[in-house]
Amino acid sequence: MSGTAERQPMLQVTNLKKYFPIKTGVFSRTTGYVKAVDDVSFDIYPGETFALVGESGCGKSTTGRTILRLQNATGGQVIFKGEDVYAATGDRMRVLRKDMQIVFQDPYSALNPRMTIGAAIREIMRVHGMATGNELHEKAERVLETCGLQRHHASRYPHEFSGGQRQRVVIARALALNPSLIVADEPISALDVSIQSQIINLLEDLQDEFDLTFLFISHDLSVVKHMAERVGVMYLGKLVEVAGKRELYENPLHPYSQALLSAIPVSDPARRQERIILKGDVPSPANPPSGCPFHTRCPYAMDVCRSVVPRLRRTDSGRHVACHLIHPPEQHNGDLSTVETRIAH
Amino acid sequence: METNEIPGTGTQSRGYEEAEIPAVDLEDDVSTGTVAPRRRRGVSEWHQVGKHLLRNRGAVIGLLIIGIFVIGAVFAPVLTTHNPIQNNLTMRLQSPSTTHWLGTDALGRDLYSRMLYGSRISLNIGLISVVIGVAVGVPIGAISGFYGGKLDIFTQRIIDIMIAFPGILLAIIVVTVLGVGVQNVMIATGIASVPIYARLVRGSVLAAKEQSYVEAARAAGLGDASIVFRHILPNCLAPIIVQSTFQIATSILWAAGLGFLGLGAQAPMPEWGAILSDGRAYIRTAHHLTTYPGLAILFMVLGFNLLGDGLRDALDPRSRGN
Amino acid sequence: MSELLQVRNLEMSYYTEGGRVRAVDGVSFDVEQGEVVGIVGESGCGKTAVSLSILRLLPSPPAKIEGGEILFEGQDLVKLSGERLRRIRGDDIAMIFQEPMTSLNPVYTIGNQLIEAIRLHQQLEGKAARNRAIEMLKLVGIPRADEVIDEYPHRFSGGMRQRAMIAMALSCDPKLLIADEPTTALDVTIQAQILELMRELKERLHTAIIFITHDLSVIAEMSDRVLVMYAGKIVEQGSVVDLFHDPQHPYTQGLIGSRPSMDVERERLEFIPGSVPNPLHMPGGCPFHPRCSHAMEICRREMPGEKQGENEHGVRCWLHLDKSDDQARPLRAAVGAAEE
Repeated sequence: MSGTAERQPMLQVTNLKKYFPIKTGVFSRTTGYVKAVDDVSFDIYPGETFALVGESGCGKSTTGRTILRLQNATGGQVIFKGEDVYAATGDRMRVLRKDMQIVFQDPYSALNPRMTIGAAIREIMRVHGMATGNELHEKAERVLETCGLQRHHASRYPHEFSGGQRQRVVIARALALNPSLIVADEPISALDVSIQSQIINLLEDLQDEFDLTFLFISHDLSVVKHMAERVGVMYLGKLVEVAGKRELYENPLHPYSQALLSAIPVSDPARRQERIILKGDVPSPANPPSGCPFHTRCPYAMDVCRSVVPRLRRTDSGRHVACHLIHPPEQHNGDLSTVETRIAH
Repeated sequence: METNEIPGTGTQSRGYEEAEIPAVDLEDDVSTGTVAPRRRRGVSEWHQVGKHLLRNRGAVIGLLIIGIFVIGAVFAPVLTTHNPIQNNLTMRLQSPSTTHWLGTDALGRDLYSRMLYGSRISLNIGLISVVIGVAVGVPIGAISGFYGGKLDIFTQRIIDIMIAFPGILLAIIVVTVLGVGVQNVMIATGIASVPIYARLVRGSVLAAKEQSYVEAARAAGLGDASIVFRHILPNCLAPIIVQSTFQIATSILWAAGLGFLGLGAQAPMPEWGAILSDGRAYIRTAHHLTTYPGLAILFMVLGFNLLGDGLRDALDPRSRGN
Repeated sequence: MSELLQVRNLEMSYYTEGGRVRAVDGVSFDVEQGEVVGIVGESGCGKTAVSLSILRLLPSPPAKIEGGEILFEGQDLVKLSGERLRRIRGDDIAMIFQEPMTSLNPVYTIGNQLIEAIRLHQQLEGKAARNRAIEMLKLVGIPRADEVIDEYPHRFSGGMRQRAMIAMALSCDPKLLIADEPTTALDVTIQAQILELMRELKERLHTAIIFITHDLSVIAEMSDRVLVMYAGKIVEQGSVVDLFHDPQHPYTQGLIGSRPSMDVERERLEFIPGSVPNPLHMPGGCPFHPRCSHAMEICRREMPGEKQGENEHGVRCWLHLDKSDDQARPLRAAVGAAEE
C-alpha cells in the first residue's frame, strides 16, 4: 500500500462531474440535471487494478466513459500519464485513445455484426499505423491467439461465436492497440457463470503479461475482491469510500459499504449470516436527497447528514471516506462518544 | 474433493479449450474436414437472408411478378408485336384478338406493346426516384441523427412539415414548379420520398449509435466519417432496403397518378397512368383500355410490396431465428 | 413430511425451425410441504422450462410435454383439463418472475391487479377484497399500503414491484410458490431485502418454494435442497449442505470452484472449459463430456443413471458408477489423437 502511494499515479481523476440535462417540451428546454457523476476524485497507479463498485445508476459506468472522453465531462480534470485528457485535441487525442482502451459489458452489442472480427481488429490497428499488409493480418491473428482464440477465427463474423468467445474478441480488440490502461466495464456480468471465471483468468493473465492497469467497474463484490487491489465505492454519483481491498472488505467504514458488503449472499449454506438490510430504495439521481445522498437509508443518519454534504477525506489510516460519522463537520459539535460506539458496531 | 485440473499444454492454459468446442465449430469443422482452411470466409449474413427469403412464399411470388415485368421491360423490342406509338386509325378501339393481344386504343395503337414499353417507364421511375430519395434522404438522416443538437431539431422540423403533406400532393407541387414530363416526375417522386428516408435513417442511426461497437470505434480513435460509413450505416441497411422496396411501389403508384392527371408522361409516351387516363373516356365501350393498365399497376405494386414484406422478415434477426 | 409435488421423468421439447430441442429431459424430483428447493443452472439448462411445465404455461406449439407426470397432491397436472388447471394456478401454485416490470400490467393500478387475483381465487368481494389486498401489501413490507394500492406500476421501483408481485402470488395462500430468478434484475441491497422477505414469509406461511436461479450464492442462502441442471437434465441433487460441501458431479464442482469466494483468497479461479452446448447440437452420451476433465470413453456413448448416496444425495456421473476398464479409458487422450 505504502509502495503504491509513493509512485506517480497513471491516472488522476479530480472533481469529475457529469450532469445529464433533463429536457422537456417541444423546444427541449433543460429543466433539471441528473448528476450521474458528482465530484469524483481518485488516482490509479501503474500496474494495479482499481475497482469501482456500486449498484445500478450509481454512476460507475459513466465515470469510466467520461475518463475515456466517450462522453464529455461537465467539469473536473482527468490527467493520464501527466497529460490533461480534456485539453488534448486531434492527433494528440488519438494517441491518448490508443493508450486507454475499454472492454464492454455486453459482448453482443460490442462487435459490429457486419464485420469479421479480423477486419474489426485490423481496422483499428490500421488507424493507428501499427502495421500494414501481411503484417497487419499476422498481428491481428496473433492478438486473437493471445486471448485464447484461434487464428482462423479472424475470418468469422461475431454471430458465429458464443458469448464467452465474443468477450475474448472484445478483449483482443482492446489489447490490439497495446494500451497501458484498460477500462473494463462489467466485463463478465453478461456471461454464463461457468464462462465468467475463464474471462477473469484471461484478464489477470494479460495484466501480468502486458503490464496492464485496469479500471474494473462491477457490481459484483466477490469478483471485485478477487480482481482488485484498491476499491472505490460509489453511491448516487458520489464516491463514498476508497480503500485498499483488504481494509475495505475486512473493515468497511462507510455505512453504505457496510450494508453493501453484508448484502452479498454467501455461497456457504453453513454460514448464513445476520445482515444489515437497508430500508427503502435507491433515490432517483434526478432528484437526489439533500446533504449526504445516503442519509435516507442510513441506519446512523444524524441531523447534520440531512443538510451538509460530507466530503471524501483521508482518515488516519490512509483511507478515504465521505461520512460525517468518521469526519464530524467542524461546525457540528455532536456527541462524539455515541458516534464512536456506533462505528464500533 | 477432487480438484478440477484441466489437462493441457502450456499454450492451452488460457482457456484455449473454449475455442475448440463451440457449437458452430462442431458443425463447421466437421463439414470442412479436420483441418480448418486458414482464411475460410465466415458465413455472411446476406447468405442467410437470401435463404430465408426464398423460403417465404409471398416473397417468391413477389419476385416472380417483378421478374416478369423486368423481363418484359428489358426485352420489350423483341416481345412486342407493334410499334407502341404508331397510330393506326383504321384499327381504333379493337377488342383483344390474335393480332392485338390486349386490343387497341382510341388511336389504334396496340395496347399490349404500349403496356410492355410502359413497364420500362414505370420501373425506371420507381428505381430512379428511390435512388434520388436515398441519395438525398440518407445523408440528411445520418447527419441529423449522428450529430444531433440544434441541426437535428432544425432538419426534423422541416421534415415534419414535408411529411405533413401527402406524398402525392408534394409530388404534384414539385411537378407544377418544374413542369410536366417523365424526368420531372422522377425528381418529384424522389423528393417526395426524401423525408421518409431521412426520418427512417435518423431513427436507425440513433439506435445504432447507442451500440457499444460504435463507442468502441470511438474509443479506438476512429474518425466520424469511418464511424458513420463503416460502423453505423451498414447496420442501418436492412430498414433502408425494405423501405426502398415499398418506395418503388409507392413511386410507381404516384407516377401513375400524375400520369393520370396529365402531369406526368406526355402523349404519345406509353405510360400506364396516362394510358389509364386516355382509356377512361371509353370505359363503357372498350373497358380493356382501363382494365389491363389497372391490373398491371396493381400487380407491379403488389409484387414489390410482397417482396418488401418478405425482406422485412428475412432481414429481422428475431424472425429469422438463430 | 408429505410430498406436495412429485415430478416424474418429465420430458418437454420445443419444436423450432432448426429442429427439436429437448429442453427438459427425464427430470424427476420431489418438493415437500414447506420446503425450499433450489434449481440452479446456466442459461438454457432447462430450469425455467421445468417451472413453466409445472404450471403448463408453455405456449404449444412450439413447446410440447412429451412424457412424465407432475403429481401435485396426487393429481397429475399434465392430464388436467383447462378449467381445473386454472383453479390450481394461483390458488394452489403461484409464480413470480424475473422481470417484475413486464409481469405487472401497466394500465391497471397495483390494487386493481391484486384485488382481481383475490376475487378470482378467494371469493372475497368489494371492501373485503380491498382490505385483504392492503393487508397483503403490508405483509410484504410496502410502506403506506393503503395509499400505494391506488398507484400504477410505473410509479414503483424494481424492488417494490417485486414485492407487489410477491404479494399477488401469496394473496391466495398458495401451497407452492415458484420463483424464477426473482432477484436477478435487482441490485444487491434490494436483493437482500427480497430474499429476507421471502425467508420470513416462508416461515410464517409455511409455503413450499421452488427457487430458480443461476446464482449459486443465492441458492446457498435460500434452499433446503438443490437440483443442479445441465442441458435439460438434473446432474446432481441433494441437501444444500451436502451439495456445497461435498459436490460430486464435475459440473457442480466446476460451478462452485469458478465463483470467487468472499472468504477464501485464491490466486487463480478454477474454470469449466468450453461453452454451454447449442441445444440443437447436443453432444451424445453425457452432455457435459466435451467440457469435463474426467471424461471417459463411456461418457461419450451413454448417459449415466443416478447413483443415490447418503441423505438422498444423487448424482448422474460415470465416475461414481461401475464400468469396465475399457469403458473407463480417459477420453481426453482419445479426442486428442483424433484431432492430430
